[in-house]
Amino acid sequence: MNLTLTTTALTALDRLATGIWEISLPATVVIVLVLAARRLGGRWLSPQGRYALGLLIVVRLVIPVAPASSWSVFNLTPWIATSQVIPASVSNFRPQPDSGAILSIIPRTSSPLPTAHHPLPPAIRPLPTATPSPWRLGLEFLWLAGVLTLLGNLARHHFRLVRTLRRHPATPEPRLSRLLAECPSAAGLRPSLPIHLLPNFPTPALCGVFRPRLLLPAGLPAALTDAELTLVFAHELTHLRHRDVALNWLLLLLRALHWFNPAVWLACRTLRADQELACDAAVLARLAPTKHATYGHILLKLAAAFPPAGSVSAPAPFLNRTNLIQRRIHMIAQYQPARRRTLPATVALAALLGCLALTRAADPKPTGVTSPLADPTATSGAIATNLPTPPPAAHELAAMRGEMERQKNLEQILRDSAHEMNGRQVETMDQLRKMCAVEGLTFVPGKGFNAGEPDTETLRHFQSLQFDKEAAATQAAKQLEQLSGLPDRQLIEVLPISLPDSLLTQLLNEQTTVQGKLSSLRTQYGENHPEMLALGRVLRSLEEKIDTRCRSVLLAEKLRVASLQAAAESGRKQIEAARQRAAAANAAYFAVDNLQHAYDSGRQRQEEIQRRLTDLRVQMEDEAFVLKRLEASDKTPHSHP
Amino acid sequence: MSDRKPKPPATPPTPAISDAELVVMKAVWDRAPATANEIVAALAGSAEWKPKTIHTLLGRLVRKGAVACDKTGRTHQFRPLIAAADYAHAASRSFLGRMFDGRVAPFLACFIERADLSPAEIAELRRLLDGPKKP
Repeated sequence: MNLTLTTTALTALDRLATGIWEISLPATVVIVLVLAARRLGGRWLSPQGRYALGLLIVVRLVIPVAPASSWSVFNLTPWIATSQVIPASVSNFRPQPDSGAILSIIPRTSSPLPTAHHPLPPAIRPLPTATPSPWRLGLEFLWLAGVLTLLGNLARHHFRLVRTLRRHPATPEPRLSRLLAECPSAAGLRPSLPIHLLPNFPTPALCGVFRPRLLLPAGLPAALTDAELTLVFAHELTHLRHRDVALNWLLLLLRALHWFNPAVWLACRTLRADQELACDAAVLARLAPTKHATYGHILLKLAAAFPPAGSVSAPAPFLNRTNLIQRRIHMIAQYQPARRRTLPATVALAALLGCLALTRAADPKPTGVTSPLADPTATSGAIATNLPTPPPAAHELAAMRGEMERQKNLEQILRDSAHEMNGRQVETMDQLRKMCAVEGLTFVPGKGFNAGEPDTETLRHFQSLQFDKEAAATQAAKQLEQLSGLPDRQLIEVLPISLPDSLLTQLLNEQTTVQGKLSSLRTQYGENHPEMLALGRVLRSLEEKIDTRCRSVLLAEKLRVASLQAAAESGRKQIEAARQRAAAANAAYFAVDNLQHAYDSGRQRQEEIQRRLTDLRVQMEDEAFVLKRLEASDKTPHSHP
Repeated sequence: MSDRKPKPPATPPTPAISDAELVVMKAVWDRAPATANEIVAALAGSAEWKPKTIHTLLGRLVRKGAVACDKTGRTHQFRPLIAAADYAHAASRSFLGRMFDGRVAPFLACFIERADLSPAEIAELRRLLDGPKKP
C-alpha cells in the first residue's frame, strides 16, 4: 500500500519534471528568437511593440500546445521534441536509464500511434516505469527542491507585505484621492484605489492582482508637488491598466518552474525592463511634450532617494550591463510620438515570430505540399486516389524515395525493439519460474501465481494450544508457590485437598486410628503402660512417613510444573518460527508479484510494438504502390534520350 | 569612548535611530547649528514633550554619533553628523532587508525597481533631459 503510494508520487514527479523540461527546451529557442528580433527591430519598434514581442515568450511558456506548421523553426531542430501532449515526448539530455529499464518507441508527434511520416527515426526514451533510474530521480528531486525554495521565498515576501499593509492600513487623504481621481490615466479604471503610506518604503508601487493597492513612501506626498504626484500616479495607473502585477506573478511562477534554464531568467529580466519602458512610453503618449522632461526629473528625484543596492543584493551582474534608469531617461529624452510606420512593422514581426516560434515542426507529407495551412492528417490512402495529374517532378520522386528509406529504417528499429522485447520477456519468465521453484509456488498459466499463503490455520492452532499450556503452567506454578510457603502443620492439612495422594491419605487415616487408640489406653492404664510406649513409637514412625510423603508430593508437583513451563516455552518457539515462515512467504509472494507485473506490462508493450509494425507495413505497401505509379508516369513523358 | 569630536569616516555606518529620536533629529537637520533651547522651541508646537525629554533625546543622539555637540562659550551648539539622505537610504535599505531580503519584491509594479546611480550620473541624466532635443 505504502509502496504503491510512493510509486505513484514518483511517477507524478517524473511526469511533471518531464513536462516542464519539454516546455523549457523549445521555449529556449523561442526566447533566443524573440530577443534577436527585438535587437534586429531596433528603432522600428516602439517600447510597447518591444514589450508585445516579449509577451510571445510568456505565451509559449504558458501554452505548450502548438499547431504544426512547415514554417516552424523546429523543422530545423528535429532533436527538440515539440509535443502537444506533455508527457509523450523525448528528452535526449536525460541520463540514459540503466539496462534493466524497458525501452519503448515513442513517436515525435502527439498522435498516440505513429504515422509513417516521421522525418527521422523516432527517439528512444525510457518508459515512465515505476522505477526511474536513480540518476533521473536525483535530478528530478533537485528540480523540485529548487522550485519549492523559490516558491517559498515568494510566499514569504508576499505574506510579509500583507502583514505590513495590515499594520499601515489605507488612510483616505483628500489631497491624494483628489489627485488620483483627476489623473488623466485614471479614466475608465475603478474609482477607488486604496493608498497605503509606508514609512521607509523607497518607491511608489502597485500590488495586488485582484484588489490592487497603491503603496507610497510615507514622505512622498510632502516631498512632491501636485503636478509631480499626478505624474507618479499616471505611471502606476498605467501599470494597473497593463495588468502588470498579474504578469509579474506569472513571470515569477514560470521562473520558479524553469529555474534551471538561464534563458528563462534572461527573458524575465528583459520583460521586466520592457514593461517599465512600455509603461513610461504609454504615460508620455498621454502627456503634453513640454511635460516629458518633468516626468524624467521626477524619476531621477526618486532614484536619488532610492537606497543604492549594497554589494549583497546585486543579482547576476552579467545581466545588468545597462542601468534601467539610464535607459528609461534616454527613452524619455528621445521620446517621439509613435510613428505610423512602427505599428505595421511590429505586427509583421510579431506575426512572423508567431509562425516561426509558436508552432511545432510540420508533420511531413509524402508529396511536397508546402502550404502551412494544408491538412496535416491527409492519409496515404487518400493520396493514392488523388494522384497529381501533371507528371511529378524529379525532386518529388526523390523525396518519396527518401521517405520510403526512412520508413524502412523505422521498421528496422521497430523490429529490433520487438526482438529485444521478446528476449526480455523470455528472461522475465525464466526468472519467474526459478523463483517459483525456490519458493514453492505453483504457476497457473493465464491466472498468475498461487503463492504459499501465510499458514494462518496452523498459526491459529498453535496459538490456542499455547494459550492452554501457558494457563496451566502459570496456575500450577502459583499453587506450588503458595503451598511451599505454608508452615508444616498447615501444609499437612491442605496438601491432601489440593494435591490428592492415596498413600498420604492412607497414612493420615492410620495416624488418626493410632491416636484414638492411644487416648483410650491413656485413660485406662496411665501414661507408662508398655502398650502405650509401643503405640507411641508407632505414631512417631507414622509421622515421619507422612512428612516424607508430603515432601515427595511437593517434589513431584515441582517437576510437573517445570515440564509444563518447558512445554509452554517450546510452543512459543514454534509459533515464532511459524510467523517467520509466514513473513518469508509473504516477501517471496511480493517479489513474484512484482515480476508478474513486469511481465504483464512487457506483454502490453510487445503488443503495441507489433501493432505499430503492422500499421507501418500497411503504409509502406501503400506508398510502394504510389511510388511505382509515380515512377511509371515519370518515365512515359520524360523518357531520357 | 571619550572622543569629543567623532570624525565621520568616508562611509559612516548609520546609527539606528528610534522614532522619538527621529523627530528631534529632523529638527536638528532643519536648523543646522542650533542650541538646545532653539531645538526645544522648534519642537514645542509639534511634540508634547518636556524640555528635559528633548535634552535626553539629544544626549542619546550625541552618544550614538548622529549629532555633534560643539561647546562655544557657555552654549552648546548641535549639528548633524549624518546627512538626511544617508539616513533615509539606510532606513529604507534596512526596511527592504527585513521585508524582502534586500530588494523590492519582484511582484510589485514599481515606479523604480532599483537604482545604482552615482550623483554624477544623475546630474548627467538631468542635463540630458534639459538639453536641446536631438533630431
